Amino acid sequence: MMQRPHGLPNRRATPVAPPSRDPPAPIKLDGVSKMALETGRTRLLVTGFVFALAFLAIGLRLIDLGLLRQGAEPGVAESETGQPFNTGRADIVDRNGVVLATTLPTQSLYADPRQVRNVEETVVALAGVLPDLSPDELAAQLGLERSFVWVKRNLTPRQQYEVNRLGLPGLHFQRELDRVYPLGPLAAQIVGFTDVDGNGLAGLERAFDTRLRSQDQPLQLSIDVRVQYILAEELAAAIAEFNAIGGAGLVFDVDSGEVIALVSLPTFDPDQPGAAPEEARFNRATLGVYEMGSVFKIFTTAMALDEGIVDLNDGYDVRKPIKAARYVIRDYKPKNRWLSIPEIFIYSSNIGTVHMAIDAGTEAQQHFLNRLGLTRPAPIELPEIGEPMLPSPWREINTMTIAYGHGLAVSPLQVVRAVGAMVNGGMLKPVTLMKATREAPLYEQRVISEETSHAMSWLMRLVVQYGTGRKANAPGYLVGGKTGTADKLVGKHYVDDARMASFVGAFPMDDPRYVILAMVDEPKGNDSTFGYATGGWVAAPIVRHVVERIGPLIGIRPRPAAEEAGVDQLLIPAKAGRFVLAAQ
Amino acid sequence: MTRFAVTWMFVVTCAALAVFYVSQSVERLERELALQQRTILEHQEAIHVLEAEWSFLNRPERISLLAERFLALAPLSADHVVSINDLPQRLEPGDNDDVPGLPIADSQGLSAPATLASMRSGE
Repeated sequence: MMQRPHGLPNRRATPVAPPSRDPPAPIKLDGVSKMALETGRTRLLVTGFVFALAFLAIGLRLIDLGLLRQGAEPGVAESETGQPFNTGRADIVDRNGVVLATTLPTQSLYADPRQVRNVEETVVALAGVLPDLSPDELAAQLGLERSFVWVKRNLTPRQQYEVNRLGLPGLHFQRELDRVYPLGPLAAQIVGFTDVDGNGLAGLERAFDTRLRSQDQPLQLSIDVRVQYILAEELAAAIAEFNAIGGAGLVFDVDSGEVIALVSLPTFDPDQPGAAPEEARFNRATLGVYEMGSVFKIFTTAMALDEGIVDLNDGYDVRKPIKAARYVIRDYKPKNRWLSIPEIFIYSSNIGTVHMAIDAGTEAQQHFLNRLGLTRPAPIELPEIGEPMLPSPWREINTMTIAYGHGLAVSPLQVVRAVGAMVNGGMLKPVTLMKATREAPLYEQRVISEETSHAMSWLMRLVVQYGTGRKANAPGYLVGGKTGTADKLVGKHYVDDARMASFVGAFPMDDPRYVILAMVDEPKGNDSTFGYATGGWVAAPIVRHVVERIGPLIGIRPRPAAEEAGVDQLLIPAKAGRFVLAAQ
Repeated sequence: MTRFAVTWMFVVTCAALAVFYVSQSVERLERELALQQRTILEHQEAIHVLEAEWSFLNRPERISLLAERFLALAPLSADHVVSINDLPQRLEPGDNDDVPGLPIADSQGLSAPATLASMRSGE
């Protein structure tokens, strides 16, 4: 509003307003109007105040979110696309991380027959590039009124390039994932294989199918591929040398219960399991059950010692063969004199061992073998597990034959586990193909006393020093073990010229760490073995070679000859004071 | 009154420009992120394939063939492993003054590698 300056002349000239209206009276409102105005102002104030409060709250919240929030939200934004590479099926690796099974992206070739211009030309061109395709089948497929037919799945990059170079219409590639086994047949029996859609069909692929699909972390096995290779190579060499039909081998850690190597020959290529005969896919180490022959004398002797039936200074007269029912039990190489318990074991006397079993009794034998897990399938992760074959009924004659390993068939896996308990201080461990994550297994069971275990270690060492297992002696590694030769049962009769030669060893015997089993199926003697095809001639050398080769790999220090002889003296149990070995 | 409005309009325009710039940058960064992630995936896949190939090339039978062909090494046998205590002590200079003309190793009846080892352990 503008102010009018005082003393303007025209203003003076105007007539003066009546005195009653000067000065102008303030506007007086009566009660009702005044009230309405006051209410309006109050409402306006309140509303303004509420709005101001709301904006203030929003402003504060913005400052809070923009400047003050730190801990509650991640510093780096995460995006949904940030998923790591995932093949949908985890790898299988060995104990050192070597890949045994993996899933790789590949290209599969398919055709859209409606786009194919000249079926004949296409078939001829494709057959030139992919020689294993059947031209007739392909031609029939391409003649169909469809929009999709598989031509060939999982092409190699080279094949893909060649097909692309043909430049034919109607051929397309589909990215697929294919299971690949880089080590080929080496661990085929353990790892198993999958079908073309990635479903595990055998071995650990089958046992851990769900685990392999659901988790990304590789499945780490207890297998050491280096040991696996050495064992497989030595077994294959023996099979070739003795013209055998197959073989099996195991390396078992007696403290952790881990299987370090598991070989079954003949084997197959897991990339093409269908191409292998049924027999090659058969896992002799876990699924096959065999009469183990004299290897079982380990258990009979341990039982007799542990139950107190005999002690190391006792012995039996082995001059007379034992006649029972219609059987006559003889020794393979009769000694014709009284033999001490160590001698019975070293010379593998059937007669002496049967005497021990008879004195212990059928019930004790059943109970003992049951405790060693020899009467039920070995608990291992593989789906291929053999059920042991037990005599039914279990009569005294069965007790006698079982004493030296006939009339009861078990899998090699069961044998190494039980032998492990014989030499590791008497604890039966669970057997596993998974790399152990702890020092000792969660549960273990005492099956024989520590003293018996020491005696058994010593006896097994003697077999290799002086007895039937001399060919297993790897100098410096204090190998101990027991040979076994079992006639094979064909139909209902034992056949003389078909046998199973085996050797179960452990080393080093002063503190056994590993049990090794080598088994050769139907070896034929040759000139270098003077016609013999027994465990001592065929299987024992395998164990010697394997020990010599894997010893430095797995960190076992070989002893110089003098030290080894000293340790051998220490192995002799105090109770065997009177024992003198004839061979010494 | 006018100055007040002009000031605010200026502020609003600036803010709008800033928001536009930020959103553009975010979009660009997202594109870059997606690209990087694709590259990472490609690399991861390549690593995966290479691991399989590494395992394939490390097949024990292949390594043993290569070792046989290219290395003058034999498998370790038990008598190649010697304990540190079995190594002879270092010879002090002057010990062999009374046997002139004989090398130290011969006079002590030591084999060459053992002498070498004793010399190394004395360093």
